[in-house]
Order: sequence, then structure tokens, then C-alpha cells
Amino acid sequence: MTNEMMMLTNLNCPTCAAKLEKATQALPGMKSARVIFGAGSMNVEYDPNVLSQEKIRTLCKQMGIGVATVVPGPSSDI
Amino acid sequence: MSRYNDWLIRNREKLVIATSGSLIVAAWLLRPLGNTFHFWAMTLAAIIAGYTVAKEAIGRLSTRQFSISLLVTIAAIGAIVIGEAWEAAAVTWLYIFGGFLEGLTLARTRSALRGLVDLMPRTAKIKRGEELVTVSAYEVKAGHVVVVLPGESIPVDGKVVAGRASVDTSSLTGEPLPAEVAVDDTVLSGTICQGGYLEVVAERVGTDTTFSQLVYLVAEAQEQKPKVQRTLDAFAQWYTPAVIMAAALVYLGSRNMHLALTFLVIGCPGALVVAAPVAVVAGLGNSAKHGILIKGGERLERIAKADVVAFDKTGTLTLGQPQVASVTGFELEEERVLSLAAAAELRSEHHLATAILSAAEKRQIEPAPADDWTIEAGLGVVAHGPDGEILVGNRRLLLSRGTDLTPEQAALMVEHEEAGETVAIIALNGQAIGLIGITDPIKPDAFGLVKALKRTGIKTTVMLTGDNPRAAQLVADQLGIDEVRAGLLPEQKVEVIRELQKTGHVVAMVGDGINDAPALAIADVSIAMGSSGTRVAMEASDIALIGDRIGQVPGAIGISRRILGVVRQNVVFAVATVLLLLAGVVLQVIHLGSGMAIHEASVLLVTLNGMRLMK
Repeated sequence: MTNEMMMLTNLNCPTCAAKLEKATQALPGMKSARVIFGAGSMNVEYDPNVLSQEKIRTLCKQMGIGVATVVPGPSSDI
Repeated sequence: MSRYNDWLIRNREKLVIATSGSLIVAAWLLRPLGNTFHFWAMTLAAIIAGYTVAKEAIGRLSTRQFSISLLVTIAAIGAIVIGEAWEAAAVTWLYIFGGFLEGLTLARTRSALRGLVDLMPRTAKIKRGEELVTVSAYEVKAGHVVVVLPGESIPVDGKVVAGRASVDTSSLTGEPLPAEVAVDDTVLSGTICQGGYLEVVAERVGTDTTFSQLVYLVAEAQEQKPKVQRTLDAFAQWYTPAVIMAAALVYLGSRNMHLALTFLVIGCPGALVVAAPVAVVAGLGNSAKHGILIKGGERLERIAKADVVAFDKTGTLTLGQPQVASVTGFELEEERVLSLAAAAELRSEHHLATAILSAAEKRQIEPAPADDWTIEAGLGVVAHGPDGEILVGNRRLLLSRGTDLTPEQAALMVEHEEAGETVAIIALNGQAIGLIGITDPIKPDAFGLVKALKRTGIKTTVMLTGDNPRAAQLVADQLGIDEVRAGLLPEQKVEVIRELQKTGHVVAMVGDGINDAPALAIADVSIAMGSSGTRVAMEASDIALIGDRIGQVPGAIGISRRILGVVRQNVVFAVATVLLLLAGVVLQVIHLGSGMAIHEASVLLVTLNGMRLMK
């Protein structure tokens, strides 16, 4: 499993955040996705054999949301 | 082409505001061209701006939320239907413009986190044999030796094994002066090597480093909303349907569609809804910049209610590192006494050894190593060196060797003990030659702490310590702490806090997180001194003081109170504005356009009031 924390741009409304969270959660290979609106970030955990960072970026882009920086994220068992 | 699309997507909000706004201006300027043009230009402006609002309203409605955008959408459609396109344009445009302004504030508070993420080290130079290999910071494993050159940020938490450097720790501590580090010192990730050269053995790497944890904590803290804010979200839930119903009643009563629609739009509690989040986000962001990490808004109310602050002593109020405070020579010189004591302590693991040896080092004394030494449990150290038999220990050690202090010497010893020192007697060949007094110095920024706490409204300060009552009382007296409970085991600290809680107090506990863990867990508010060793306590605490600065406790409580104060001001102001406007509408002195302008002005005022907390 890969844990990543993505810093998002253009995340302007809480509704967009909720939509993005739902859409990324629906990606095959995504174990968990959580958008933190106030922080403008998204924590994802996915299976790198099925899903890639590139695919998540593409999905965000389709929804009008940019991915500025990606850093390894906190493991979900914290 | 795709680049053009990206630009459109990124700037859509600004484009919508600009296009719709220009149409409104054009419609007014070209009024002489006739009313038809005016009406359609305004309608178009309302549709462009209103599309975004309606989309948001429907989106929220689909998750069963009655939002203000729903109110605005219905009101705008109604205004066009009755031929008042200008009012529809004004309502929708002001709404999206308000949203844009709100977004700007949000961006400023988010930038604190962005800044932290940008400081996260990306690469590391690791030593493989004689070779230096540059790898991603997240590939470094514990045990690797990392080399840090000037200007680079340290990629891991670890121990220095070679070199020395001055390290800028401001990202973690807010401390403006660089720290001088050398072999055996601990360095933390995200701090920057300013000058010098360091080889560091990695201890915590990747997502476990202090800096990564800090970033995750800051992000998480943005997620939690305070109770006030939750109440407001719930408020909007019933408020929107209530206003729609009331507007319907106004229409039924007056048969005046215009009045009913005006009532509908003015009833939007825009300022009320942004009242809490702007203040909370601005306040938390600001305190985080100073190394005070308040974990989430819902804890603010508990923090603000605290009236008792309990402190651990050692490591929290004091440095936690014993130091030599006085050296007395009975006949020999002080230097000689210290030198002999250091010789005896050189290889011992006696608990006073570190203090004595570092004092000797500070005075550039090279102790002559003893040939053999033994630790007498509970008494002290006995060593044999070139000068003969050296004793370092308490009076019982002397007595066990058939010797004792003279009455004058004993009186001197009591004097030092009453000053709060732990006194070791030094004897050479069966004769006492001097005394060394050792204390755990109070942190410089602990002075003035109690006064500052009282100013923020704390009524009582309590010290909870495992140390002996006399030492505890001395520290408490110097700091002005009201109550002292000494000689406590960790679970007894918990008991004291429970007792205070039973008598109706809201207790904040400040500790360094190891022996205080149970007390921190039971307190209403836990404040952890966050240095590298207390990561778990930092995660569990309500407030973490990243820089280990005890002097920040009043600031942390103060900012929480200020945030709540601003939230309350905003709520009162917003409610008063809406009520006044609604009264104005019913009395027909306020119209849709002017009402909306006052409305948005109140949103802006509330936002600016919240942004004051950034300073």
C-alpha cells in the first residue's frame, strides 16, 4: 500500500471537497481517500499495483482541482 | 489547447466574477440605450453568476443540506420572474464575490501548511563506504549515515556522529537563534544546517520524523471544527427552510411578491456562517507559526474554560539537567575539590556524575583518572587515585568510613540544602575537604509565567512533582506557584487532578509527556512540551509546544480565549444585522439591492474581524 499526502490547489468549496473525496474513493485500487478542506490537502492510501499517482492526478484535473505537491502521507493506522 | 483549458479551469471563479461584474457595470452605463438592453444585460449577469450558486445549492441539497446558496438561487429566480433583473444580478454577484473573498482568507491560512510541506526535505546524501550517494529523503533507513552540508535541511531525526554545525531550528521551534550542535547531539528533520558539516546516524526516517509528524498534525488540526462552528452548521440546516417558510407567510399576508422575495434573500445568514471558521482558522494558523500547535477547534472551548493549571516540575519548569550550583573548599581551593570529585566520578554512572563532570569541563579542569572506583548504593562513590582515597557522597558515606563533618561544616551543608541544593560531600583520605551543591535550574522563561497566566484569567496554579517537598517548594516560591503537591507517583498526580475536577475546576496539565502521561490523559486540557522524545504525548495532547518553551503556555490559553471572543463578537454582530435588516424589510425601508449590500458588508466585516487573529 502507498500512503500519500497531496496538496491541492483550487479547492474552493466544501462541496467540491466532498465530491472529490467520493470520486477518488471510487477509483479501483483506492483503499482510503480523505480530503481535508481547511488544510487543502488529501490523504490517500492505494495499491500501487492497481492505481498510480498519475491516475489520481488526472481525476483531480478533470474535476478542476490541481495537485501542487505530493509527499509521503501518514500511515492510516495512526 | 490543454494549457488554455487548464487556465480556464483554474481561473473560472475570477472569470465568472469579472464577466458578470462587467455586464452589471455595462448595463448601468448603457442605461440610456433603453430598458430592454438593461434588463437582458442584468439577466445575463445574473445567469452567469447564478449558475455557480445554483450548482452549489443543488450539490448541497443532494446531500440533504439546506444552504444559503439555495436561498439565494430561489430569490434570484424570483427576482427575474417579477422583472427585477438588477436585483437578481446584485444578489448572485455579491454572493460569489463574498465566496471569493472567503477563499482568499482560506488560502492565507492554508499557506502555513504549504510552507511546512515545502520545507520537508526531499533528498538526502547518505554515506556508502567513502562514497556519497544522493537519494530521496524517504529511502533513508534507520542506521544510515546521512551527510548534511551548509544550506541543506536535515532529512532525518538522528544523532550527530561527526562534525559540528549551527542549525537553524526555527521551522520547528520558532527559535530565532541557531543551535550549536556537535557529536552526540540530537538533530531533528526539517531544521537547516547553516554552517559547518554534520554526519548524522538516522534514527527516525521518512514519515516518522518529527517534522513529518508535525505536518500531518497541522493538517489534521484544520479538519476539526469547534462546537460553535458545528452549532452554526446545524443552524443553517433549519434556518434556511425557516426563512423560506417565513417568506411564504409574508407573501400570503401581504400578497406582495417583491416583499416576500426581499425577505427571503435578506434572511441569508451569510455572516453568521463564516463567523466561526474564519476566526478559528486564522487563530490556529497564527499560533502554529509560533510553535503552539492547538489540535483542532473543538478543544478551544475546553482550553478557554480552564481555571487551574497544573505543572510537572522537572523538565517542564526546570531544565531537567542537574548542574553544579556551588563548590565549597574547606581548606583546599574550589578547583582542587572539583578536580578530585571529577576524578572519582569520571567513569561512574552516579546520578550526579554528569553535572560534576560538565562543571569541571567548563572550568577546564582535567581530572586525573582514578585507578579503581566502586559505587556504594545509596551513599556515593569511593575511588582510589594518585592522591589517595576519594569519597563523593552523602553524610552516611562519611559515617560508614568512620569520619564526619565538623559542626561548622555541617552547618554550611544545611545552609546549601536550604537553598534547594542537593549537596555532595567530598573527602580525601578520610577527611572532608569540600562540598558540591547541585540544582536543576529553573528554565529562564518560567519566571513571569504565573503572572502571565493570572492575566489570562487562570485562578490557581499547582505544581505536581515526584521530587521532595523542600526542593519543590523552593521552585514554587521562586515562580509564585500557589500550591505544591510533592513526592507524587504518576498515579497520585492523576488523583490530584481528579480531586480538582470534582470540586468543579477545569484543569489544564502541562508536562513533558513521559512520567506525566497519565495525568495529561485525565486533565481537561493537556499541554505537552514537545521535544523529540515525546512524540506520542504530542499527538495525544490538546496543545503541543513544539519549541519546548514553557513561557508559551499563557499565550496558548490566551489565543484560545481570543479566538472564542472573536467568534462570539461575530455571532452577535451577524444575528443583530440580519434581525435589523428583516425588520427593515417588513417596514419596507430596506430593498433587495441595498439589503444585500449591507449583508455582504457584514460578511466582510466579520471576515476582517476574524483575520485580526492572524497578527
